[in-house]
Amino acid sequence: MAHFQALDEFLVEGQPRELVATLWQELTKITPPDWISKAKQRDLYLAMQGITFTLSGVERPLPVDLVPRIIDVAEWKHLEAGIKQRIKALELFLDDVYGKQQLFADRVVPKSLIVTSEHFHRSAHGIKPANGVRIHVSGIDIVRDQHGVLRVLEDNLRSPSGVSYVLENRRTMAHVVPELFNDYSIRSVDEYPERLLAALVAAAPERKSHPNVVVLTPGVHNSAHFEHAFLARRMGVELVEGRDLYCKNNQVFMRTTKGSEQVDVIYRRIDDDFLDPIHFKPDSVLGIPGIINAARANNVTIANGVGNGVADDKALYPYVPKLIEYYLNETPIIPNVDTYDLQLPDALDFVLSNLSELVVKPVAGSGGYGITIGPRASKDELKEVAKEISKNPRNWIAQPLIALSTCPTVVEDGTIASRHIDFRPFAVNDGNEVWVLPGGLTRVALVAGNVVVNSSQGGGSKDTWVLAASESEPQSYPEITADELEDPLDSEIIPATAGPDVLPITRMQQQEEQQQQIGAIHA
Amino acid sequence: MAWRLSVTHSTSFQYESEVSASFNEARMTPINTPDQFVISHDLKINPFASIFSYNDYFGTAVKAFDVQTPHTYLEIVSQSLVETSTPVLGNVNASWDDLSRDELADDLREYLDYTALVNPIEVPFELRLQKTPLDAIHFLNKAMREQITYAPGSTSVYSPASEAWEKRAGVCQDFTHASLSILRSVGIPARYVSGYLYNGSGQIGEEVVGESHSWVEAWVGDWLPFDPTNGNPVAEDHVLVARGRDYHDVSPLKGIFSGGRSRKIEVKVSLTRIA
Amino acid sequence: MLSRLAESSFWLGRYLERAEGMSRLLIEFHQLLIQDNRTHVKRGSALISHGLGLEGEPKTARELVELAYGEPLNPGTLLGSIYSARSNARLIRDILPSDFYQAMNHVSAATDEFSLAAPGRSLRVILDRLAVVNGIFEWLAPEDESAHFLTLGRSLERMDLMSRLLSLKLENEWRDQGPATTLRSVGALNTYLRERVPLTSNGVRKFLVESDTFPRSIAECAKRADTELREVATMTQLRVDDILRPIGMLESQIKYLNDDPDELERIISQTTSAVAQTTDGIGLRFFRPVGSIVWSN
Repeated sequence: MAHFQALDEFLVEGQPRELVATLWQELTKITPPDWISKAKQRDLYLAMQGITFTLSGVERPLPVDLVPRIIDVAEWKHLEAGIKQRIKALELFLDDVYGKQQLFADRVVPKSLIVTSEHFHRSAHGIKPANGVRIHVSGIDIVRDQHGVLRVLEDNLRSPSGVSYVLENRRTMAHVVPELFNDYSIRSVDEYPERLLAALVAAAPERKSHPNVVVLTPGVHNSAHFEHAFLARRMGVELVEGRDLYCKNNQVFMRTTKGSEQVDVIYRRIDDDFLDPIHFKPDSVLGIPGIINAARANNVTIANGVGNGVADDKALYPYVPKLIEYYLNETPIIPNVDTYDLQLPDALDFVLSNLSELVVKPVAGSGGYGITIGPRASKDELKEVAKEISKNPRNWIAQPLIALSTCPTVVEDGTIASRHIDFRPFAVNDGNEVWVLPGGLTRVALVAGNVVVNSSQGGGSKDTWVLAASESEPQSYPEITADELEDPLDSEIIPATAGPDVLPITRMQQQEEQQQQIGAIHA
Repeated sequence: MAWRLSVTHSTSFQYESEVSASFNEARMTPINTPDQFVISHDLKINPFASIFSYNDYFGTAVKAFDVQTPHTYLEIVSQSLVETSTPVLGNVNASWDDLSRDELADDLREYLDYTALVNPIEVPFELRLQKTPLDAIHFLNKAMREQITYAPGSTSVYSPASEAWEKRAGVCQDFTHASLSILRSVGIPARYVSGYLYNGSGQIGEEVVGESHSWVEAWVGDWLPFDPTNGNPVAEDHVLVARGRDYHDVSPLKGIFSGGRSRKIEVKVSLTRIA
Repeated sequence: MLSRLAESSFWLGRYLERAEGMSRLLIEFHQLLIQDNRTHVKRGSALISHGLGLEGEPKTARELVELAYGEPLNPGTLLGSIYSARSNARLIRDILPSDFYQAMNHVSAATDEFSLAAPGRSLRVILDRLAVVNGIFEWLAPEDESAHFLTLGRSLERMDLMSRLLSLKLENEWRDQGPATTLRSVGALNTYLRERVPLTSNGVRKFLVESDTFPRSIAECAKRADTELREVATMTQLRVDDILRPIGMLESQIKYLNDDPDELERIISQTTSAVAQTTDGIGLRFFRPVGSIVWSN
């Protein structure tokens, strides 16, 4: 069995890389008891802000590890270009699959692969979005392998979540460990809601100058509700549930106290299956009957588009490099993880005979469940999974075991130890360009040796710092919080930083003073 | 020789309590094909509803409409005027080897896979023994009526092929599903066709009570239509409306409604030969 | 704003007010019945429970409290109104001040330790925690549509509770303590006494209907409801004069009230229906509730 030595993002043979040298100095100044105390501060801050994640029906804070992950300028350029390229190709793919289907005639991807996908929604066939965009928001999961190569692990093109934590993680870090920010010019992540809103507005059906954009949520009981409310608030748009909307004459309206208001763009965080009881699950109470036809009539834009799941289907994943070549005539900038297509008999044979060395994943399902890691599985588990695969090879893919890179993380006892990470950057497509948020959600497996990092399985996250190339890029500065300022009551005048005429700022009025004044007058 | 047929298909719903809203999609419009020309089509809905038309994934003409005023009665009348002719067959002489080509199986995968309604059944004969797939079609066309008796009421709209097969009774929907199951099991791509059947004498001007009907199109080098329920060829008396993998893809009226207890449905189809 | 959120804001207001009103009433009624001799208790309990719209035949003070305390799913009871208030608060959590929901939870927590045997203390705890909720709202809620609907709901509920209280005519059962108890159960005793009006049954009734200094009088609450509804009208640009008619009529009748005791009784009994009509009107105009739709196919 091959052993892989994972690369560490910070350390080479125990010594910090140049990129993180300054940070490492600051990190090592902090003692374990300090880390534990800072972790408590962090938890308190998160609880007070109400930043939670619902796991098994219980709300708990999403633990952001206090050691950031850093990405340098050059590497970010590479990632950004690769993500843009990938999204462009997948947009063209979706347009083709739900339109002319030229790629089948050219035998780029087997037609069976697509038409047997449970996410291939025939009701989306022929729908042409107003500005052509179907992947308004995407989250491309990326890992670094044991050779240092960054690879795409998975595409998420339906309703990728986590971006609210990206924004909140930055604020939390600035609040709890502002000293780590010294000497680093970090690109700001705060633009995300504006960029998202701009993309949604650009996607509106051609009609109004001020399109009515809403965020559609399944409701307060959904695990990602925090994010839905967060984004709606930051974009300044209404957060609605299915029952707030209705369709009439193929148009979508919102029930308000003023009456009915037409809706033009719906940023929906509801799965396709629950979106429209006419075309999908008829018993869904979360959706709006008629919404798909309203989109078809171009009276409303649904973001992300219906049927995107066929493009982030794990069974399609091995073909994405080919799609990049076919649609863009380019070689992929960020490679895939090598994947075996089990519908090819040779690949299937190889995989079944080498299960103990490989990782097999079911095509359906998410959150890391159902993955079998060969070198860690028992003989019985391997036999079981071999049976399942033979029964239905289309439902599985196999990949060589990758040693995900690690990153120093504060662990339970307050010491710093390396843990495996992956990375989810987010991209927004406004029809003219694909903008990649400079930052993203680095997810960390909090248990030593664990490689599956999804938050639904108890992983944590890290603030991700993309360094600024120049002063002109918007940068992140730690906010000075109120308790770090001197108590304003102690100094009567706070000097201004600019301007000739500076008015002295006096202390706040106090009841006692007023009583004394009145007393003096009456004395 | 072409016929000109007028088809009237009316569906009405009566409810005991009010329906507050109802959203529907009608697949009742005949389509233009090399063998069929649609002169006119009209869909009337009572209470009045505006109609949104589009073509779905299978090329079927869909008319979507909703009624959002409370009602206890809903009537949909589809009126078509079509010119039909006997289908001209292409090259239907594929061999069994031709059908086993990977590329074909890939292209026509949707018509080779089982579905919930077209599920596996136990077939008492071996179609592959026939010399050519075309021969297999002819054989099957004759054999089906020996396997199942036409008996309305023995199955429901939700019955899969196996149910009718076990009961040895069913209606055209079941004949079609069972045929599809058998054909797909031997690698012949086959699709469900819905439409209307003119059952009259052919006399001009005579209004004949008809039915929604279904039959099969099998790919044996080209798409070949045949009618296993009646065993006769698909000719001018068949008006084609929709194609799909099974009944679900082509159901004449599907939708959702809220409220409306005790729904009673009445369907009437009539055809008249105009020329 | 979304109709769904406006509706929840309105009903949150009504249920909060109901919870507070019932808590005060129960404290006073319980005191009254406990101190009483046996002849009045049974009749008194029945009278009070009937007046509060509860179904049951309580014969003792404890039974009355149990009935009025009630259960979560009956919003006509104290526990029910707390439960419903919290449910509505949960639904509009995102538009309420951030501490509000927590304070609501704190009120609910008080019900976990309710003592039927010695309800006075438990009711005081509930009242105190409700005061925190109200305080947070007064201090932190922005003056948006939601706040106006909430205050509108509270004003209407107050009118309704006051009218129920006055319909009880406690002084008929308890000649001596009736008027004072009535005042205490709406926190009006001190205010009334400061006006130096003799503590008579009629004086108290008139005061609670027409006083323009006591914020819980029917007149003041009607005025408040009127103001809030007009604010909503301005914000939504929808007309409300038809909805305001029942309250408007009530206000003018109170304004021109003479000494005729029958006139007073008429106003008191009309108040409940005015509140109901107004609530219906608001629902139709602004909420147009759909209910949950179950689709069949």
